[in-house]
Amino acid sequence: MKNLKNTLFLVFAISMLGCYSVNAQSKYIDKKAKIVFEASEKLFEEVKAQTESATAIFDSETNQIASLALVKGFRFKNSLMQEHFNENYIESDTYPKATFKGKLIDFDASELSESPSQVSVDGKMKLHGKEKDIRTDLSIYKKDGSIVMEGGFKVKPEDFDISIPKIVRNKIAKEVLVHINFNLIKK
Amino acid sequence: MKAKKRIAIVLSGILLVVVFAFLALNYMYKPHRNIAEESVASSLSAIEIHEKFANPNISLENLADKIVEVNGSITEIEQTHTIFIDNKVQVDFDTLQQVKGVFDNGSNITIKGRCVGFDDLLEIVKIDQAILIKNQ
Repeated sequence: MKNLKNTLFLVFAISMLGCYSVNAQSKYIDKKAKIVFEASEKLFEEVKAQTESATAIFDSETNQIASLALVKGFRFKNSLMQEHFNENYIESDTYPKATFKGKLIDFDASELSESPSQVSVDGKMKLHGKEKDIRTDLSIYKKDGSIVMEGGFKVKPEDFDISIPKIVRNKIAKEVLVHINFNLIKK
Repeated sequence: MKAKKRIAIVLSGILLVVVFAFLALNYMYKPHRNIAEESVASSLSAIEIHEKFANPNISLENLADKIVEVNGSITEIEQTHTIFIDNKVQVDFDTLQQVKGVFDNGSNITIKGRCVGFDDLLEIVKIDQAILIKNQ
Protein backbone atom coordinates (compact mmCIF):
# COMPACT_ATOMS: atom_id res chain seq x y z
CA MET A 1 0.00 0.00 0.00
CA LYS A 2 2.77 2.35 0.97
CA ASN A 3 4.64 1.37 -2.16
CA LEU A 4 1.68 2.21 -4.33
CA LYS A 5 1.35 5.56 -2.63
CA ASN A 6 5.00 6.29 -3.25
CA THR A 7 4.77 5.29 -6.89
CA LEU A 8 1.71 7.44 -7.39
CA PHE A 9 3.45 10.37 -5.77
CA LEU A 10 6.49 9.87 -7.99
CA VAL A 11 4.36 9.73 -11.14
CA PHE A 12 2.53 12.85 -10.02
CA ALA A 13 5.78 14.68 -9.27
CA ILE A 14 7.34 13.74 -12.61
CA SER A 15 4.26 14.78 -14.57
CA MET A 16 4.18 18.08 -12.70
CA LEU A 17 7.83 18.62 -13.50
CA GLY A 18 7.11 17.76 -17.13
CA CYS A 19 4.30 20.30 -17.32
CA TYR A 20 6.40 22.94 -15.74
CA SER A 21 9.42 22.56 -18.03
CA VAL A 22 7.21 22.51 -21.13
CA ASN A 23 5.53 25.69 -19.99
CA ALA A 24 8.77 27.38 -19.14
CA GLN A 25 10.20 26.70 -22.57
CA SER A 26 7.33 27.84 -24.68
CA LYS A 27 6.57 31.21 -23.10
CA TYR A 28 7.34 34.41 -24.92
CA ILE A 29 6.96 37.71 -23.08
CA ASP A 30 6.93 41.38 -24.04
CA LYS A 31 7.02 43.69 -21.02
CA LYS A 32 7.07 46.80 -23.18
CA ALA A 33 4.33 46.06 -25.67
CA LYS A 34 3.17 48.98 -27.81
CA ILE A 35 -0.51 49.70 -28.18
CA VAL A 36 -1.88 52.74 -30.01
CA PHE A 37 -5.49 53.72 -30.44
CA GLU A 38 -6.87 56.46 -32.59
CA ALA A 39 -10.34 57.94 -32.96
CA SER A 40 -9.51 61.08 -34.93
CA GLU A 41 -11.98 62.84 -37.18
CA LYS A 42 -10.83 64.89 -40.14
CA LEU A 43 -10.50 68.63 -39.49
CA PHE A 44 -10.61 68.15 -35.73
CA GLU A 45 -7.86 67.71 -33.22
CA GLU A 46 -6.11 64.34 -33.21
CA VAL A 47 -7.61 61.86 -30.74
CA LYS A 48 -4.82 59.42 -30.29
CA ALA A 49 -2.98 57.80 -27.40
CA GLN A 50 -0.30 55.23 -26.97
CA THR A 51 1.39 53.14 -24.34
CA GLU A 52 4.77 51.48 -24.55
CA SER A 53 4.51 49.61 -21.30
CA ALA A 54 1.75 47.07 -21.87
CA THR A 55 2.37 43.37 -21.26
CA ALA A 56 1.94 40.52 -23.70
CA ILE A 57 2.49 36.82 -23.09
CA PHE A 58 2.38 34.15 -25.78
CA ASP A 59 2.56 30.40 -25.23
CA SER A 60 3.79 28.65 -28.37
CA GLU A 61 2.73 25.27 -26.95
CA THR A 62 -0.96 26.15 -26.68
CA ASN A 63 -0.98 29.19 -29.04
CA GLN A 64 -2.65 31.20 -26.30
CA ILE A 65 -2.00 34.89 -26.08
CA ALA A 66 -2.73 37.27 -23.23
CA SER A 67 -2.18 40.98 -23.03
CA LEU A 68 -2.72 43.62 -20.37
CA ALA A 69 -2.50 47.38 -20.62
CA LEU A 70 -2.90 49.75 -17.71
CA VAL A 71 -5.32 52.41 -18.89
CA LYS A 72 -3.49 55.19 -17.09
CA GLY A 73 -0.40 54.26 -19.10
CA PHE A 74 -1.96 55.63 -22.30
CA ARG A 75 -0.58 59.02 -23.10
CA PHE A 76 -2.16 61.71 -25.27
CA LYS A 77 -0.55 64.76 -26.79
CA ASN A 78 -3.20 66.94 -25.17
CA SER A 79 -3.21 66.64 -21.38
CA LEU A 80 -6.81 67.79 -21.00
CA MET A 81 -7.89 65.07 -23.43
CA GLN A 82 -5.95 62.54 -21.36
CA GLU A 83 -7.67 63.79 -18.20
CA HIS A 84 -11.16 63.56 -19.72
CA PHE A 85 -10.40 60.14 -21.17
CA ASN A 86 -9.39 58.83 -17.75
CA GLU A 87 -12.04 60.55 -15.65
CA ASN A 88 -15.14 60.76 -17.81
CA TYR A 89 -15.00 58.13 -20.53
CA ILE A 90 -12.96 55.13 -19.47
CA GLU A 91 -13.14 55.76 -15.69
CA SER A 92 -9.68 54.40 -15.06
CA ASP A 93 -9.94 54.65 -11.27
CA THR A 94 -12.73 52.07 -11.30
CA TYR A 95 -11.50 50.08 -14.31
CA PRO A 96 -7.71 50.37 -14.36
CA LYS A 97 -7.04 47.59 -16.86
CA ALA A 98 -7.65 46.69 -20.47
CA THR A 99 -7.05 43.03 -21.23
CA PHE A 100 -7.10 40.68 -24.18
CA LYS A 101 -7.14 36.90 -23.97
CA GLY A 102 -7.19 34.81 -27.07
CA LYS A 103 -5.73 32.15 -29.27
CA LEU A 104 -3.89 32.07 -32.57
CA ILE A 105 -5.65 29.84 -35.09
CA ASP A 106 -3.78 27.20 -37.15
CA PHE A 107 -0.44 28.56 -36.07
CA ASP A 108 2.79 26.65 -35.63
CA ALA A 109 5.59 28.65 -34.03
CA SER A 110 8.24 26.23 -35.32
CA GLU A 111 7.35 27.08 -38.93
CA LEU A 112 7.78 30.79 -38.37
CA SER A 113 10.28 32.61 -40.59
CA GLU A 114 11.65 36.09 -41.03
CA SER A 115 9.05 36.91 -43.63
CA PRO A 116 5.68 37.92 -42.14
CA SER A 117 2.78 35.50 -42.27
CA GLN A 118 -0.86 36.35 -41.67
CA VAL A 119 -2.41 34.54 -38.73
CA SER A 120 -5.94 34.83 -37.38
CA VAL A 121 -6.47 35.47 -33.71
CA ASP A 122 -9.68 34.90 -31.84
CA GLY A 123 -10.31 36.22 -28.37
CA LYS A 124 -12.00 38.50 -25.91
CA MET A 125 -11.12 42.04 -25.04
CA LYS A 126 -12.15 43.44 -21.67
CA LEU A 127 -12.37 47.14 -20.99
CA HIS A 128 -14.51 49.38 -18.79
CA GLY A 129 -15.94 46.23 -17.17
CA LYS A 130 -17.34 44.93 -20.48
CA GLU A 131 -16.20 42.08 -22.70
CA LYS A 132 -16.22 41.91 -26.48
CA ASP A 133 -15.25 39.20 -28.94
CA ILE A 134 -12.42 40.23 -31.21
CA ARG A 135 -11.31 38.45 -34.35
CA THR A 136 -8.55 39.89 -36.47
CA ASP A 137 -5.44 39.04 -38.48
CA LEU A 138 -1.96 39.55 -37.15
CA SER A 139 1.22 39.75 -39.12
CA ILE A 140 3.75 37.52 -37.36
CA TYR A 141 7.44 37.00 -38.02
CA LYS A 142 10.70 36.11 -36.36
CA LYS A 143 13.33 38.70 -35.57
CA ASP A 144 16.61 37.92 -33.79
CA GLY A 145 15.09 34.99 -31.94
CA SER A 146 12.04 36.89 -30.75
CA ILE A 147 8.54 36.77 -32.20
CA VAL A 148 7.06 39.99 -33.56
CA MET A 149 3.28 40.41 -33.84
CA GLU A 150 1.67 43.39 -35.51
CA GLY A 151 -1.90 44.13 -36.30
CA GLY A 152 -4.99 46.12 -35.62
CA PHE A 153 -8.71 45.98 -35.18
CA LYS A 154 -11.65 48.31 -34.76
CA VAL A 155 -13.92 48.71 -31.77
CA LYS A 156 -16.73 51.07 -30.92
CA PRO A 157 -17.06 53.00 -27.66
CA GLU A 158 -20.59 51.64 -27.17
CA ASP A 159 -19.21 48.06 -27.29
CA PHE A 160 -17.79 48.81 -23.87
CA ASP A 161 -20.64 50.97 -22.58
CA ILE A 162 -18.63 54.15 -22.98
CA SER A 163 -20.89 57.06 -23.82
CA ILE A 164 -19.52 60.08 -25.62
CA PRO A 165 -21.24 63.36 -24.71
CA LYS A 166 -23.14 65.13 -27.52
CA ILE A 167 -20.90 68.16 -27.41
CA VAL A 168 -17.81 66.26 -28.55
CA ARG A 169 -19.51 63.48 -30.52
CA ASN A 170 -18.62 64.81 -33.96
CA LYS A 171 -14.99 65.28 -32.95
CA ILE A 172 -14.48 61.63 -32.06
CA ALA A 173 -14.66 58.89 -34.67
CA LYS A 174 -17.44 56.33 -34.34
CA GLU A 175 -14.89 53.54 -34.68
CA VAL A 176 -11.69 53.43 -32.70
CA LEU A 177 -8.70 51.94 -34.45
CA VAL A 178 -6.46 49.90 -32.19
CA HIS A 179 -2.97 49.00 -33.32
CA ILE A 180 -0.68 46.59 -31.52
CA ASN A 181 3.02 45.87 -31.82
CA PHE A 182 4.44 43.07 -29.67
CA ASN A 183 8.07 42.05 -29.58
CA LEU A 184 7.96 38.78 -27.65
CA ILE A 185 11.16 37.46 -26.16
CA LYS A 186 11.60 33.84 -25.15
CA LYS A 187 11.69 33.28 -21.41
CA MET B 1 -18.36 112.47 -27.40
CA LYS B 2 -20.63 109.79 -28.84
CA ALA B 3 -17.86 108.53 -31.13
CA LYS B 4 -15.46 108.26 -28.21
CA LYS B 5 -17.94 106.22 -26.22
CA ARG B 6 -18.51 103.87 -29.15
CA ILE B 7 -14.77 103.30 -29.57
CA ALA B 8 -14.43 102.59 -25.86
CA ILE B 9 -17.21 99.99 -26.00
CA VAL B 10 -15.73 98.31 -29.07
CA LEU B 11 -12.24 98.27 -27.57
CA SER B 12 -13.39 96.78 -24.26
CA GLY B 13 -15.39 94.20 -26.22
CA ILE B 14 -12.29 93.15 -28.15
CA LEU B 15 -10.27 93.03 -24.95
CA LEU B 16 -12.88 90.79 -23.34
CA VAL B 17 -12.84 88.38 -26.30
CA VAL B 18 -9.02 88.22 -26.27
CA VAL B 19 -8.91 87.54 -22.52
CA PHE B 20 -11.59 84.89 -22.82
CA ALA B 21 -9.87 83.22 -25.78
CA PHE B 22 -6.57 83.26 -23.90
CA LEU B 23 -8.11 81.62 -20.82
CA ALA B 24 -9.95 79.04 -22.93
CA LEU B 25 -6.83 78.09 -24.88
CA ASN B 26 -4.81 77.94 -21.70
CA TYR B 27 -7.33 75.52 -20.25
CA MET B 28 -7.57 73.37 -23.38
CA TYR B 29 -3.85 73.14 -23.95
CA LYS B 30 -2.53 73.12 -20.43
CA PRO B 31 0.85 71.41 -20.12
CA HIS B 32 1.32 67.79 -19.02
CA ARG B 33 2.20 67.25 -15.40
CA ASN B 34 5.78 67.89 -14.48
CA ILE B 35 7.00 64.87 -12.52
CA ALA B 36 10.25 66.55 -11.48
CA GLU B 37 8.44 69.45 -9.80
CA GLU B 38 5.53 67.59 -8.25
CA SER B 39 5.91 66.53 -4.64
CA VAL B 40 6.16 62.85 -3.75
CA ALA B 41 2.98 61.25 -2.38
CA SER B 42 4.79 58.26 -0.95
CA SER B 43 8.38 57.13 -0.60
CA LEU B 44 8.95 53.41 -0.19
CA SER B 45 10.95 50.35 -1.23
CA ALA B 46 10.14 48.27 -4.31
CA ILE B 47 9.03 45.40 -2.08
CA GLU B 48 6.71 47.65 -0.06
CA ILE B 49 4.99 49.14 -3.10
CA HIS B 50 4.55 45.68 -4.60
CA GLU B 51 3.03 44.49 -1.34
CA LYS B 52 0.54 47.38 -1.37
CA PHE B 53 -0.81 46.35 -4.75
CA ALA B 54 -0.50 42.57 -4.43
CA ASN B 55 -2.37 42.51 -1.08
CA PRO B 56 -4.94 45.29 -1.32
CA ASN B 57 -6.29 44.26 2.09
CA ILE B 58 -3.20 45.60 3.81
CA SER B 59 -3.84 49.15 2.75
CA LEU B 60 -6.65 50.98 1.08
CA GLU B 61 -4.37 53.74 -0.07
CA ASN B 62 -4.45 53.91 -3.84
CA LEU B 63 -1.14 54.91 -5.31
CA ALA B 64 -2.21 54.71 -8.95
CA ASP B 65 -1.46 57.92 -10.84
CA LYS B 66 0.40 59.32 -7.81
CA ILE B 67 4.02 60.42 -7.78
CA VAL B 68 6.13 57.92 -5.85
CA GLU B 69 9.74 57.55 -4.89
CA VAL B 70 10.95 53.94 -4.99
CA ASN B 71 14.24 52.40 -3.94
CA GLY B 72 15.79 48.96 -4.33
CA SER B 73 18.40 47.14 -6.32
CA ILE B 74 18.39 46.79 -10.09
CA THR B 75 17.63 43.25 -11.23
CA GLU B 76 17.19 43.73 -14.97
CA ILE B 77 18.11 46.32 -17.55
CA GLU B 78 16.11 46.41 -20.78
CA GLN B 79 16.54 48.18 -24.09
CA THR B 80 16.59 51.99 -24.22
CA HIS B 81 14.96 53.21 -20.99
CA THR B 82 13.51 50.48 -18.82
CA ILE B 83 14.84 48.81 -15.66
CA PHE B 84 13.41 46.42 -13.09
CA ILE B 85 13.88 46.93 -9.35
CA ASP B 86 13.95 43.79 -7.19
CA ASN B 87 11.91 42.01 -9.92
CA LYS B 88 8.85 43.76 -8.44
CA VAL B 89 8.75 47.15 -10.11
CA GLN B 90 9.14 48.07 -13.77
CA VAL B 91 10.48 51.58 -14.26
CA ASP B 92 10.24 53.37 -17.58
CA PHE B 93 12.44 56.44 -17.52
CA ASP B 94 11.50 59.51 -19.46
CA THR B 95 13.12 59.68 -22.84
CA LEU B 96 16.18 61.66 -21.75
CA GLN B 97 17.52 58.94 -19.46
CA GLN B 98 19.56 56.20 -21.12
CA VAL B 99 19.94 52.98 -19.13
CA LYS B 100 22.34 50.76 -21.08
CA GLY B 101 25.85 51.34 -19.80
CA VAL B 102 24.64 53.89 -17.25
CA PHE B 103 23.16 51.50 -14.67
CA ASP B 104 24.51 48.21 -13.39
CA ASN B 105 22.67 45.12 -12.23
CA GLY B 106 22.69 44.91 -8.44
CA SER B 107 23.32 48.57 -7.76
CA ASN B 108 21.05 50.44 -5.36
CA ILE B 109 18.84 52.99 -6.98
CA THR B 110 16.21 55.54 -6.01
CA ILE B 111 13.82 56.87 -8.63
CA LYS B 112 10.86 59.21 -8.73
CA GLY B 113 8.06 58.63 -11.17
CA ARG B 114 4.36 58.22 -11.78
CA CYS B 115 2.86 54.98 -10.53
CA VAL B 116 0.73 53.60 -13.37
CA GLY B 117 -0.69 50.61 -11.52
CA PHE B 118 -0.38 46.89 -10.98
CA ASP B 119 0.10 44.44 -13.83
CA ASP B 120 -1.36 41.16 -12.62
CA LEU B 121 -0.15 39.15 -15.62
CA LEU B 122 3.46 39.61 -14.57
CA GLU B 123 2.64 40.62 -10.99
CA ILE B 124 4.71 43.78 -11.12
CA VAL B 125 4.07 47.43 -10.35
CA LYS B 126 4.62 49.77 -13.29
CA ILE B 127 6.07 53.25 -13.05
CA ASP B 128 6.55 55.61 -15.99
CA GLN B 129 8.05 59.05 -16.69
CA ALA B 130 10.67 58.29 -14.06
CA ILE B 131 13.68 60.39 -13.20
CA LEU B 132 16.78 59.26 -11.38
CA ILE B 133 17.21 60.47 -7.79
CA LYS B 134 20.15 58.40 -6.60
CA ASN B 135 22.33 55.67 -8.12
CA GLN B 136 24.99 54.03 -5.97
